[in-house]
Amino acid sequence: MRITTSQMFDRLNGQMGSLSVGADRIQTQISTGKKLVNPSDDAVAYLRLTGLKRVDADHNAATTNANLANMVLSQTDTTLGSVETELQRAQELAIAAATGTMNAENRAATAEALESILDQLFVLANTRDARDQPVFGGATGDVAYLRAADGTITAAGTGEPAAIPLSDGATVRASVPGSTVFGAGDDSAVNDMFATLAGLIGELRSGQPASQASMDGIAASLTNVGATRASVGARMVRVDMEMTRLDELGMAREEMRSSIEDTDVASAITELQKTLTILQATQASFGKLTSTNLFDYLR
Amino acid sequence: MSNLLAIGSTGVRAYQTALTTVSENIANAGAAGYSRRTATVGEIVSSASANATMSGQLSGYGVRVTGIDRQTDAFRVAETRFTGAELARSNASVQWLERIESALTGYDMPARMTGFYASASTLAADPASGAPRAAMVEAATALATSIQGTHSTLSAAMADLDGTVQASVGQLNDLSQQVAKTNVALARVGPGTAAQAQLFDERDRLLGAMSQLTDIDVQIDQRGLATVRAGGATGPVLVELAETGFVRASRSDGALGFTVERAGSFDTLHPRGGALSGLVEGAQRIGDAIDALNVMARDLADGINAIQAGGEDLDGNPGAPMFAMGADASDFRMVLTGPRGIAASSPGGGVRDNGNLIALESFRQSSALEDRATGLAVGNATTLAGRRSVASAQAAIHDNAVAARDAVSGVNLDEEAVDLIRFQQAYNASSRIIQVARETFQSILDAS
Repeated sequence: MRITTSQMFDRLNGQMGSLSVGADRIQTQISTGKKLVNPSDDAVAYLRLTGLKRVDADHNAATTNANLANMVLSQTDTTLGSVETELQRAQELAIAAATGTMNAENRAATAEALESILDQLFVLANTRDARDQPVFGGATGDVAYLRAADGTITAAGTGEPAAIPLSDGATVRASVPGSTVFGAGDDSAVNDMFATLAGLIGELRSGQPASQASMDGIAASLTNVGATRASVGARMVRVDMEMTRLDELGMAREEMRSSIEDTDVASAITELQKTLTILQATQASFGKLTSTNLFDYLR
Repeated sequence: MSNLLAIGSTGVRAYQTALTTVSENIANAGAAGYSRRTATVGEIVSSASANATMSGQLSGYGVRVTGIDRQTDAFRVAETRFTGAELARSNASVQWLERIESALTGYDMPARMTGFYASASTLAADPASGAPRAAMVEAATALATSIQGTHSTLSAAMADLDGTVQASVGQLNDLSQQVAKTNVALARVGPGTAAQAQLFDERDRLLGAMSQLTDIDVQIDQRGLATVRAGGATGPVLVELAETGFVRASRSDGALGFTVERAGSFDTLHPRGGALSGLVEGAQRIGDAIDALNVMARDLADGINAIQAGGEDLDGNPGAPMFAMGADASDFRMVLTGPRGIAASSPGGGVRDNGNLIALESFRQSSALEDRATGLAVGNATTLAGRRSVASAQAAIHDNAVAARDAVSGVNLDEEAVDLIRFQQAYNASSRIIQVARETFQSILDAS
């Protein structure tokens, strides 16, 4: 078979060209750290990678939401702790004022103290969370509790607060409606903490000892607060678990993504070296092949 | 003795021609489409030598060049045309599939969609707040930009394709006319001449260029005149003798068609090879991608706007439309006036309700637009990867066909160097004959 001169040049030129293209591709892989550049390089890997990136974005949003939920929940818990402390003080004062031995001045002083506790509880009931929303506001209401001119305190918000979405359809309610803690809402089964204290203050101001009904009311409210704190605590544990799960999933996903997308630098450098060696050998043989020509010997 | 002188002079003349042919081969070693030529030399046979009355004649009449042979193999040339057309077709479709790929991945539409939905999820945690609302508006704007950008990139690719089609068709018409001119010239040259060899080279070069554009069927008569049909043996005639057909292209959406006008009649051309065939596929693919994008954009706009309308914004009003588009996605845009306009809550749910954002999440699951957008890119990518591997196989086949053709018609310089020496020596020897004739004649003169 006749190998024509131009064919010899063209073929070597093409071979060196494709080797240069290969070297350039590996060089790009090393410098960018990614071996997958276009979907057509590996369509299946691209599909999986897109899926991973989507889950990644979703879980990032879920992590942000879980952090926020955690923050609001711990704020709810702290507030409920303060409510519990105030109620315990009220209970101590009520027990002291329940005996007939207390004189009128002391009863008035106790009533003063209870009034400041009532004020404090009103402030606590209107605590605002990290989102600048009332913690106990329920679904509606810019403030959780309102105080009328005659001193009656009623819940302004109704319903359950909106649940915060976490990953994969899971949700968590980050706060509790005030009516389940303080009462004074739609649910008459929950003891109205403010009415109980106001009643107690009225009894003491009128010179009577604290009635059993008031004592029972305070105890019922304490039970409510305790039960709510337990519920909030359980939700915090759930959110913590969710965050740990998201973290672990994130790490597993990152590993998978890396195995699909990232360049294995060691093997890429070896491959580059191999390509360059072949390229050099081709260049050397090109030099040899094209340097000999019968015309050189025609003198 | 004058006979000796005559024989010597025929040798000098014949080998001069042979040397000229060899040097032309050497000079054209790098010229594309050049076929190697050889000068065939033969003894001068006189009709007189067969005459019985001349039987006393002891010597011949010398040598002459009987013709310039063009080294070629019509079958190998035809094979090269065929493989070239197949390769050009794959290369053309790869080129346009790559354009689609870069259009679909450039704006990363699936990621923008995911970003939009993720921002809605973040907003659901704090629906009354301004910052996550602003973030969601930004994500919606980015999504609208990516859809509109993808559409305009695809449209630009289609416009480029139109330009390429017009250029290719113009090229094909030019080539047809040149082949017709070559036909006219070939009818006038004598056989076995260098001029004929040159015209054959030119004809084959033109036909090769035509087969890069479309699959052609070539019939060559005994004089070497070509009749060319496009789109296979039953396709419309592009060149017959001096007459040519005129090719026109027209496109509606993704359907690219060609007609050939010849002598007042119109025929449809269906290219099955060559760049035109790749362009037909490219137009089809770009058209399909644009259609799929339009449908997706429409579904997205309608779905999101319906969800907006089914909820209440921060001011307690039913949500205004978020996305708008005209007849296609070329003007897809975000039309919500501000962050307060996002209808996060269910009707009557209040400012802190996120019921409508939950509805958005279920729309995300049911519409699966992210999967559709990814599927569009993946479908194109698998086709592209397949075409690429076909193209590289066809390139190898074409290379082999070219090598086989060149084995017959190509120039090898070493071989030409050998021929050069051979003919040079023959030339030198012939000139020695003349010298000997002269010396012999001189010695006779001196003797007298």
